[in-house]
Amino acid sequence: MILDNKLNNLLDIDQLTKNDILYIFEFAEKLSLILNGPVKKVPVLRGKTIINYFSEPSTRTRVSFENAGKILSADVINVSSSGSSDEKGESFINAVQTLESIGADILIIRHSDSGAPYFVSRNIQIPVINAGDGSHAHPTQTLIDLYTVYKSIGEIEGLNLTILGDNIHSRVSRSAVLGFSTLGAKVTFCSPTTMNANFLSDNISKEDIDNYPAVIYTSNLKDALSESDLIMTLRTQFERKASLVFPNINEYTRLFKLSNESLKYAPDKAKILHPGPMNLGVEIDGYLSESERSLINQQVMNSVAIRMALLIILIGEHTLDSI
Amino acid sequence: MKKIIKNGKVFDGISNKIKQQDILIIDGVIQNIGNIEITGVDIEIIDASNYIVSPGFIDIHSHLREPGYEYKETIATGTRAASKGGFTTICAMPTTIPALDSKDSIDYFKDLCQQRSIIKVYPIGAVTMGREGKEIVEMQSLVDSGVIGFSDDGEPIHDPNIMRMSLEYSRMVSRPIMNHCDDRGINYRGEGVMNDGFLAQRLGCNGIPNAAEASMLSRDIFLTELTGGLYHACHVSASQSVDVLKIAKERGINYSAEVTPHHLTITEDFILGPTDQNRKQISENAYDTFAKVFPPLRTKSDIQALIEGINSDLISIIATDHAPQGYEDKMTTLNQAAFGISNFETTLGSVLQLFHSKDIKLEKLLQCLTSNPAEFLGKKLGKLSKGYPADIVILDLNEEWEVDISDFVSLGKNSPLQGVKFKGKVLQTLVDGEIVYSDKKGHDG
Repeated sequence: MILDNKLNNLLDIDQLTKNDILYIFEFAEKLSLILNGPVKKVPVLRGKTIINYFSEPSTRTRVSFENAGKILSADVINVSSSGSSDEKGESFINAVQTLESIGADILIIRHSDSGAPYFVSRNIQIPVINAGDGSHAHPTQTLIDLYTVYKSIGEIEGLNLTILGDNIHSRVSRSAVLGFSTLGAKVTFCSPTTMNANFLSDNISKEDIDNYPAVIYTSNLKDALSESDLIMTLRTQFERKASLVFPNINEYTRLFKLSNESLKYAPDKAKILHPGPMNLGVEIDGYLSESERSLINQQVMNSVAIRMALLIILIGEHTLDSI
Repeated sequence: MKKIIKNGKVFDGISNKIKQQDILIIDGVIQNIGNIEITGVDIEIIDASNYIVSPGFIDIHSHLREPGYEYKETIATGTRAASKGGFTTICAMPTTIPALDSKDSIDYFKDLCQQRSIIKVYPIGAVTMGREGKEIVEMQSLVDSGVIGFSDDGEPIHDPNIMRMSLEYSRMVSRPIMNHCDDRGINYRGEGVMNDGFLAQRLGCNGIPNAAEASMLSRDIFLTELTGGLYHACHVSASQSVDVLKIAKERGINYSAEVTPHHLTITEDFILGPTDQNRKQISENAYDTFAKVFPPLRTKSDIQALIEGINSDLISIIATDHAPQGYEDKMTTLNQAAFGISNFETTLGSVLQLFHSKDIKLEKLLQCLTSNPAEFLGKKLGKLSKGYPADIVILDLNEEWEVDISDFVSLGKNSPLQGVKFKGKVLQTLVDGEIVYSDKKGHDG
C-alpha cells in the first residue's frame, strides 16, 4: 500500500484521497503497537528536528505532536508566540524562515489566521503540517476523528455525521466535512442560522455544487439527530465573537445542547465526538462526555499514533512495510 | 516648438468616432487636427500609422503615498508608472501622512508634485479631519487650494449626519464627495478580507458581502436626492450597486460613479493564487495577498453587471484605485496583509481585454478613461481639439505582452496579474506636447 500522491506537507484534508487516508490509518495501527508496548521509544526519527510553532493557545494538539515526535526519538522544540521574537515585532515570515535556517526538518504550525500554513509552506522548503489555522482547517484532528470512528465502528461509508454547533467559525468542522465525505459519510450541520456556513450547505450556489461535498443544514436538533450515527459537538468559540451571533447562552443551550434528553432524538447506536476543548454545560453536558456513548477519550488517545504516522510519512525514511 | 502626430487613428473624445487624422502641436497646445500638410523644417514628426491616438488617460482615483509612505510609492515613481500606463493626469487620494485635510498639507503636496511629478496631479481633499469621520474639513479653503473633490477613501463615511452635511456643503463649494461605500456593521465590523460567499467560507475567511457596499451606496444616493449635493461613488464592485445606480438614474438623481480595471476583469478566484484557481482543491498558492483589495474582487455575475453598467452609462469612469504596497505589507497572512493592487501599469491591458472580447466598445472604454473623467474634473482636459493641452497617448492595440511585476516602474509590485498575457500597449505618452514616456526609451526619451 502506498500514498496516491507524494505528500510534501499537510495543509488540509483535500490533499488526501480515500486510499491515502486508509494508508495513514494502517500506519497508525502499526505505530500503536509501540504506544502499547513496554518501551515507548523507537529511533525512527533520530537526528530529526521538529519545531512546533504555535501562535495560538493549545494544549492537546501541541502536547500530542510533541509526544509523537519524542516517541520517535526526534528532537522537538516548542515555540510559542509569547516569549518569542513575535513580541519584538519580528515578522511572521522572518520567524519561520529563521526556524528553517536553524535546522528544523518540519514545522508544525498553529496560527490564528486562516491560510497561515499555506503562506508559510510556499515560502520555505521543509514540510509544514497545519495544526489548526484560524477558522479554516485542522486536518490532523480530522484524521484522528476518522481513525477513532474507523477503529470503534469500522466502515465509515454510509454513516451519518451530524456536526452540532458553531460550524462557520470551526476549522474542525471544515476539515471534518472534507474527510468524512471522502470516506463516504453524509454530513449534516445543525446550528443557529447565524453560526452556519450557509454558502457551503443550504445556500450553496449552482456553480459550486460540484466543488464541495453535499452538506445538509437544519436548525432543528431533533431532525438533525434522528438518523445520526455520529454526533460531533463543536466548541462554542467565544473568542471568535460567537457570543455576538446568538442572544445568550441560555437560549443556545436550550435549543442546541447535547444532553441526555436531546440525545434521545438520536438512534441508540449513535456515538459522540468532540474535538475539545469542551465548554461543559454549553454545547454538551459533562456526564455525556464520560459516557459509553462518547468516543472523546479515544480521540485523544488516537491522536499520538496518527501524528506519529504523519511525521514519518513527511520526514521519515520508513514506509508502511519497513516500519 | 512644433510637433505633428501623423496618420494615427484618432479618438478625439468629442465625436467618439475613431478616424484617421493628424494632430499639430505648437508649444504644448493642440493647434490643429485633421488632414494637415506639413510645411517648414523645424517640426518633429511622430508617425502613428496603424496606432490609436487618444487623449491621455485621466485617473480620478489613485494613491501616491507621498508624503508619509515613501516606501510604498513616491510622487516620482508613481507618476512615472502612471505615464507608462498612458495616464497624463491623475488625482491623488488624501491617504497620506499627514492626510490632505488642510490648506497647508495640500500646498505642501502640490509643491512636492511641482518638483517631482512628470504628469499632472490634482489632490483630493479629505472629507473629515485625519479621515477620522468626525469633523468636516474646511471645504472651501481646500477647494481654493486646488482639490478636485473630497474623500476619506479607505475609510467609508459612516456617520449619516457627516455624509448629509458634507453633501449639503458640496453644493456651495461645487466639488463632489467621493465615498468608499462599505458598511462596517455588515462587513464583520470591518474585518472582512475578501468577497463573501462560498470561497470565503471554504477558506475560513471573513467575507465582505455585496450588501455592505450597496446598502451604504443606497443611503448616499437618497441623501444626494435629499440634499441636491454632488456625489461620486468610488470603485463600485457589486451587482447590487449597479442596481442602486439604476434607481438613481431613473429618479433623476445626479451622481457619478467609477469602476476599477480589476473589478471589471478578474474574480475572487485570484485569492486562490495566480494559477491553480481550483475551488474544489485548494493549492499551496491560496490566500494570495496580492489579490486582497478593498472593495474585494467579486464574481463573474458582478463583472457582468459592471460591464452592463458601463454600457448603459450608469458608470461613466474607469479609475485605477492604484494602491501600491511595500513588500512587508503583502508578505504576510491574508488577514494581516494590506489591501490594494498596483494598477497603473496594467490598466490598459486589463480593460482592452473587454474590447478584444467585444464586451465593451473601444470608444466607450476610451471615453471612460479620458473625456468622462475630464468632465468630472471640470477641466480643459481629455479631448483632442484645438486649444486643448497636448496630453496624448499613442496605443498599439495588438501588441502582446506578459505582465512581469519586476518590470514595474511603480515601487508597488503588488499585482495579482503576474504572468497574465495582455494584448495592447502604450507606445508613447505626451504631456503638454512633451514625450514623458515611450515604450522604446522608457522615461529617458
